[in-house]
Parts: sequence; C-alpha cells; structure tokens
Amino acid sequence: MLDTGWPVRPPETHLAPWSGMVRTHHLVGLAVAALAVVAQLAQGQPPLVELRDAALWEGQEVAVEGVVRDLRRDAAGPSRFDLVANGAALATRIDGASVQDGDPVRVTGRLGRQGGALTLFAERLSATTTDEAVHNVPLSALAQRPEDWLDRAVRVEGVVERGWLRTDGHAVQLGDGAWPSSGTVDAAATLRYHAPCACYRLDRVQAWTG
Amino acid sequence: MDWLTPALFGVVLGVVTGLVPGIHVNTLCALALAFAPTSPGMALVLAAAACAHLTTSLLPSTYLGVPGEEALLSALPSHRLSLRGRGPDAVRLGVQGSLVGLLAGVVLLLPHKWLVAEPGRFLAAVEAGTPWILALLLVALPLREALRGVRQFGAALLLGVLAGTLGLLSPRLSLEAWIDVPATALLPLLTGLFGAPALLESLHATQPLPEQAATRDGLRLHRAATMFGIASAAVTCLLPGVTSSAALALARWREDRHGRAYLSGQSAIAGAHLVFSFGLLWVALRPRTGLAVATASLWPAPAWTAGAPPASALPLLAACLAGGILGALATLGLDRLAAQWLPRVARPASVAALVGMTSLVAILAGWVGLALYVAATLVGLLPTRFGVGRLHLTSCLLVPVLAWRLGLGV
Repeated sequence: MLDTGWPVRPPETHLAPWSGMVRTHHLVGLAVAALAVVAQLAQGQPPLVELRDAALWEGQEVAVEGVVRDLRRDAAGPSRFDLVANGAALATRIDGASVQDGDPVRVTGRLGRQGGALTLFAERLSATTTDEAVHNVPLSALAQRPEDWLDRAVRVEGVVERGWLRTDGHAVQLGDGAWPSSGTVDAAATLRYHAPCACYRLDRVQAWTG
Repeated sequence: MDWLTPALFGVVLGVVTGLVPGIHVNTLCALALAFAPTSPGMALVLAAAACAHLTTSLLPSTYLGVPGEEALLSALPSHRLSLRGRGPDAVRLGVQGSLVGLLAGVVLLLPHKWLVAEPGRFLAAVEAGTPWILALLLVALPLREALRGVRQFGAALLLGVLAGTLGLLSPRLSLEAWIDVPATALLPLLTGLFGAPALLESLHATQPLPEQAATRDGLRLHRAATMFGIASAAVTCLLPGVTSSAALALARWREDRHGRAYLSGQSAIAGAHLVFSFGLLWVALRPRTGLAVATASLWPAPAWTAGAPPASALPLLAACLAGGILGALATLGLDRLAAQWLPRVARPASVAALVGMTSLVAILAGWVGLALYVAATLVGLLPTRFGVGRLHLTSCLLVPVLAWRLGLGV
C-alpha cells in the first residue's frame, strides 16, 4: 500500500462558547420534551390528498377519495381494486371490505409499492355519499368533453327523453339507475364509459325531482 | 452500456461528499431520488459514489471531531490513533479493510446468492426468525454496556427507549416537502440522530492534534476481524433495520492498543455490506439500505431466481469496484493534506455542513420533518454525554421493524 508518512503541523484550537453550558440532565429533559412534541404531531389525522398527487406521499399514511373500479376479491385474501378520481387511478388493497364496483369511497392507509406499482395499503374504508363529491356541471360540458368528467359524480339538470338527458341542444345518454321515463330532472349521477355502445352514460342517479 | 462515465462522475461526487463531515451515503441517495432523473446512469453514479465515499469519509472521521482526553475512553479508535499522531495508520487500515470488504463481497456474491436463495434458503430461515433476532439484539446491546457499569447500562436503555420511540412515531407523521417531491421521515430521523450531533460535537473544544505520521511498517489488517466483518455483513444485510456495526460491536474484539481489530472489522463490514445488500435486492427484491432503495427505484430489475444475473448487476458491480479503488487512491493521496488542513477548517466546515443538512431536511421534509430532526438531534447528543456508543440509537430502526413483524399495527 502507498506510504503517506508525512509529518504535519498540528492546528490551533479554539474553545466553543457554549461548551459546558448545557448539563446532561437538561439535555435529557429537552430531548424528552421534543419527543413529546413529535408524539403530539403524530396524533393528527392522515391528510386528505388528491389521488393524482399520491406519489408525493409515498411511504406515508394518507386518506384518498375516489370511486371503486375493477374490484377483485381473493377467496381468502385481500380485496384489490383501482381507486379512480379525476382521471387518475391508484391500486388499492384492503382486507375484508364490503364495497361494490362504482362505490365512491374514502380510503385511509399507507402508500407503498407492490410489484413496483404505487399501492395504497388500506386500513380503513368509508363510503362517501355522492353529495360529497358532486360537481354541478352543465350538460353541455358533459356532452362536449366527457373525458374531463369520466367516473366523477356530477349534478346535472335537463329533460329526459327516450333514454337521453337533453338541454340547450346537448344530450347525454342515460345509463343504469332510477331515471324517470320522461320529464325534468335535477339529479346526481356518475359519468361512465360504456364499452358495448362505445359511449358515455350517466349512471346511478342519487335523487331526482321533476 | 457505458458504465464508466457515470461511474467516474460518481467517484468525483463520492470523494467530494466524503470530505464533507456529516454527509452520509443515504443523504446522497435521498437527493438523487428527489431531484435526479430516474435512469440507470444515476444508479451507477450512486453506486460508485457510495463506494468512493466509503474510503474518503475516513479522512474527516479521523481528523475532525477528536475529543479531549476526558472522552478518550469512549473515543473512536481512529481518534485515539490521531491523538497519538498516527491518524494516517487509521486511514490506511480503513482503506485496506474497505477494499477487502468490497472485493470479498463481489467474489462471494454468487455463493451468497446460493446460500440466501436456492438451495440454501437461508433468507427464509432468517425472515422466520427475524423477530427473535431483533429482540435479542435489543437486549444484547444494553447488556453489553452493563459490563462497563450500571450508569452505562441505564444510559443504553434510555437511549434505546428514546430512539425506539422516535422510530415508532416517525412513520405516523404527515410530512410535506417544500417542493414537489415525496417526503420521507428517514432523512430527518437518521440525519438528526447521527449526522447533526456529530457535527455539533465537532464544534466543541478538542485536544490539539500532534504531528501526524504513518508508522514505517504501518498497521496491518486484523485478519480475524476482517473475516468476521465480511461474514457478519453477509448475514446482517438480510435483517431489516440492523446495521452491520451492530454485529461488530457485539463481537467485542479485544481492545488492542491501536484499535486495529475494530478498524479492520468496521471497514470490511462497510464494504462487504454494500455489495451484499445489492445481492439481496436482486435475489429477493428486498432493499435494505438507502443505496439499495435508490437503485430499486432508479434501475428496477426482476428477481434473480436462476441463470444470469439481472442486466443491472454487472455494470453496478463494476461501478462499485471502480468507486472503491479510485476512492481508495484518492483517500491515500489526500491523507496528508487532510491531516494538515481538516483540523484547521473544522469549525467552518462543520457549521456549513450543519446549515446545509438542516436546510435539506426542511426542504425535503417540511416543518414537521424539522421538528422530528430537532428531537432526533437532541437524542443523538446524549450518547457522548453518557460515554456510550451511538449504536444504541439504531433502535430507531430495530423497534419499528420488530413491532411491525409482531403485528403491533405501527
């Protein structure tokens, strides 16, 4: 090995001004107090984050709202589904939850990785009522840019006519749910893509009047 | 692919950051994950930087933060050597041990795979026994201090409780970085427990260092300690939350006058652990170190069950070796300058590193992260006050892992 044997001159030293000011038991007290502060901070509820921002919270406990899609149940294992909202999707797994495809839910859990994919390992799941996630949307917006409202709960107003909801020259096809056969409606629904007809439909009306 | 260019860049990065006190390889990895593009090239940079950092960081750890005579007994062997004017011997031992560890890790990687996976299936056995192993470690570490006295035993227990509590609380914190990157509690936690206290303590008054000179024949590697270090790295890399230093501390090598056994074993562990942790990542997709976590993100690879290793393996190992060898040469070449100048610039360098580290924690972990960092720093200052090692602070990782394995819902 290389021999670096070279004598070097020692530097001068200076006394630190705070040297010896903090006694050990004071330091222990400070550490315990700081720990108590951290414990208090840890008691807070997990933040409610936007699904599209989930990757920024990887490794942390969060709450996310969205709609259940592609629900798969294992016989003796967790349920898996995609939590979908605002054009983004998040793989989710939870043990023993009773949800159905299309349910709007708030899921609380820790964000991690499974098979390289960002996954929400859910600890708690609660249903959100449609009203909580409803957006008042003119029918023209749904008809002209349905991809912006896909899988989102919306509140729409119009006239039901032969399986379509119409107003101001725009129309959106009606899907599943308790739609009246005719008349004016003011309803909450979810816009979904229906593969058989390759079209967008409004599903699951919460309430209607008219 | 061209592995040499990113590896050389990594060597430069590792040498520079190794000279800065308080910067750990995990800090580099956190920065890379936050700011660098996701690419295999960045993984190569980090691998080479980590291996170069292994040896270059010996310089500030030998010539900075040297305590006075009153703390001599708890001082690191490298500090004891530098107080005797033989800092270059400590550096040389560390370089030798790191290189031997790195090379041994590369040579033994395939046998290690056979042991860990098929046909040995040692990983499965270790994972089944992990709760017992972790519990045993948590008991053994303070008991080891009991041999030195009741005060030390009490201090070790206290440190274990405080650090373990911090480790349990940190995953429950909601951290939001000041920029759009994922925040992690590990950065403020580990930086606060290990990085910041070392810098703060280096600001204290120190014994003036005598003239530094290597001995003519130098210190030779302690063969048994080196081999033990490599073997323990092969095992400890399988255990979550266990640092390789824990194994070395429990070995209780006879405290020879020069700390030769400790220095040999510690540096060999560090080098071998780095390579074996890559092996575990490829074999079982289990990242156990900050570097492995970063590599898994920057250059994902399928599990290596049979046949040829993943495409990333050979370039990464080559980058490791390049980093280790070039870093070793840089360390030996800079040794004289470091011995002369590092103590002179110790205070401004430590202050600058402290400010940089604190700023990084704030940017990447936000206000809540800063609170965790402050609490961890206060706990991290206690080992030196009590005259015990910082090893007891590793309960910040051991306790949460044990609790999780026991299904205690943390």
